[in-house]
Amino acid sequence: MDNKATATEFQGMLESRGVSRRSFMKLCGTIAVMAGLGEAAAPRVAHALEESVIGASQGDLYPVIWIEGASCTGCTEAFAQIDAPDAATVVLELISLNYSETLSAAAGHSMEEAKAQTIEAGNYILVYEGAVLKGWDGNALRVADKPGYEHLTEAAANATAVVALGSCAVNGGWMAAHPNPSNAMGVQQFLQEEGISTPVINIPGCPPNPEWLCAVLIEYLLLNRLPELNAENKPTQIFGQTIHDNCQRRGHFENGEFVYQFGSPEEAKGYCLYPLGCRGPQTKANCGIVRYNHRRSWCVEAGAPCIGCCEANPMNPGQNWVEVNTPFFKRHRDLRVGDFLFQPEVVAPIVTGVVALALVAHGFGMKAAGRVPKGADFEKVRAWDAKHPDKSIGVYKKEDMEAASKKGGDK
Amino acid sequence: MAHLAHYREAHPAPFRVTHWVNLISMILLIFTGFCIHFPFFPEFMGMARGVHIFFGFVIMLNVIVRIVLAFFVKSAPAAGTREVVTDYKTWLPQKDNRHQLGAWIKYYLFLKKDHPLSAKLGVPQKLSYLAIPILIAFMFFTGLMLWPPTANTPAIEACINFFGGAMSVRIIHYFLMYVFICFTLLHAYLANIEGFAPTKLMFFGIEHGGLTYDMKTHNISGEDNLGHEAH
Repeated sequence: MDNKATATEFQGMLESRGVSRRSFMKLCGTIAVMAGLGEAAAPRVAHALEESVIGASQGDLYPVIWIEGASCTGCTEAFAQIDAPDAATVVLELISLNYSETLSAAAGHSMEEAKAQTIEAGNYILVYEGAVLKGWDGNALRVADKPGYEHLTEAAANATAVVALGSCAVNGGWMAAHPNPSNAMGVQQFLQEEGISTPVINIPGCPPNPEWLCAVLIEYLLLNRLPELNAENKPTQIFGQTIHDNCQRRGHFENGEFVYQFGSPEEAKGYCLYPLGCRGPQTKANCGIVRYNHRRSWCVEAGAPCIGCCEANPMNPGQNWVEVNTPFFKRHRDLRVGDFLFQPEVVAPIVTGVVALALVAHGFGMKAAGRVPKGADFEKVRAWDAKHPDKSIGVYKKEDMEAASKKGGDK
Repeated sequence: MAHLAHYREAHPAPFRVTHWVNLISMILLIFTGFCIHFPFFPEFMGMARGVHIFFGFVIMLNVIVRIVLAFFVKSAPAAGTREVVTDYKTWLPQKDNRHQLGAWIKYYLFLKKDHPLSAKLGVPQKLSYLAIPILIAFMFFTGLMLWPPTANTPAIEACINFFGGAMSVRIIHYFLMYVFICFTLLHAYLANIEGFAPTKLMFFGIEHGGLTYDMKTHNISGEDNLGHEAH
């Protein structure tokens, strides 16, 4: 055996989880690109991964707390439902996930205690999934006999950074849609109101691509820095361009080749989904580059117009992606007046039509009044001048002025 | 004989040009706008976008040129006179307009029989012509919020968020188009319902005889049929 090449301990770990060296290096390449280093830095990332706390086979792993607020657990599911343990899973497993409602084996008091200990020790990353509910004094969501948001307040205060994972965590998402009785909002806005200044990284999406979270966690752990963020605290590398910018169907858009109906020959040809309400032109995310499920496919590739699930303004729960984008297959959202919903492209032409009809009716009136085509005769004296002869604007003939004053007096 | 004479001084050549540019830009912008909103003519999509963006800049420049010219070109402050003043003064309230808003509204609601005396622009006209440049500028700005090269700059991104995101901006842009359509309907209707003389003058510079107006007395002073038979 001594004359055989031996794998590193880290490689053994990968293999024991069914990960080939090749797929691990591919992941490193992706991470390098997402961290803004360029693919050539993949070996450096691989080396750093092997050396870092992530790959440690002994000693402390970097602690992460994963709290679910008002969530459907879809974000966790997106992470967990991977068909074979691959590199991304390994990275996750190698982080010390000290608390997660869904993934942890333990439950109840012992779980809460583990969380409390982690918080006390500090230097951890908090992943928050789901909306923050402030409704009914926070009792819209109650966890472990406390208002749900108290768990966030406690865990965020001591954390190195908070990752708001998923559109609900970014600005309330589905939960904040009209009428929002539970007063749902995003993590960033909530923490700002509470006066907690821990940096927030917003990763919208419904669900967000697991690779986005990987990239952020790894950039922090490897390079010891938070990713470059835009004005909405979303990683610039991921949310800097629109779906439309990088869409594989973009060529058809430029050619004017569109799908107008599902099931049509145009759809079979993979034409552009713009007329079916695709939100790609206004939604910023790199879905078309990273793709989902092991880079196998993504919504638009699968034939579904983008529904804009990454639209989330962290400081405005009203700008949640559901209200902004429904109905998904129409080019515009619905507008709301009270309980009445309407489409801009119905109301605007109706109002314009009414204006046009009113003008036609008015035209008949003008005709009947004998003003077509020559107009009425001019007034001899301005009506106001007739009533205020001392402040008169115009200079009129005396008899006109007298006649007008008399007439005015009669009225 | 109810009309005031239509003299070229009311609409000097530079303003007839800017009016043409406005009209052509509006028609192209509205048509291509519909095509971009929904690809009714799919093959035309690429061209529609190019034309839309190009004429968006044309109409905005045209507005600026028109406003600057208003301070340099002289025009008549009323129909029926060849006297001229610096054009911007005809945009602002004139003595001839004072107290006449009610009279205009009453006239068009058939509550007043005789035609109100007025400057070149009546009160409702002045209000709408003051609003239109502001609306075009705002429309242009919403366009910049939808055009990727400008929409991706941080300052404009902040504005997009202020208006509630790109979808809201799109709807504002869409509704404003209908405001322009309604304005154009009204504008064309009111300009032509009492004869086509104003249109012939504005588009082709063709003069038309009629009553004359004295800027000193703010009143009708006589008649000038330009050597034609009275009609």
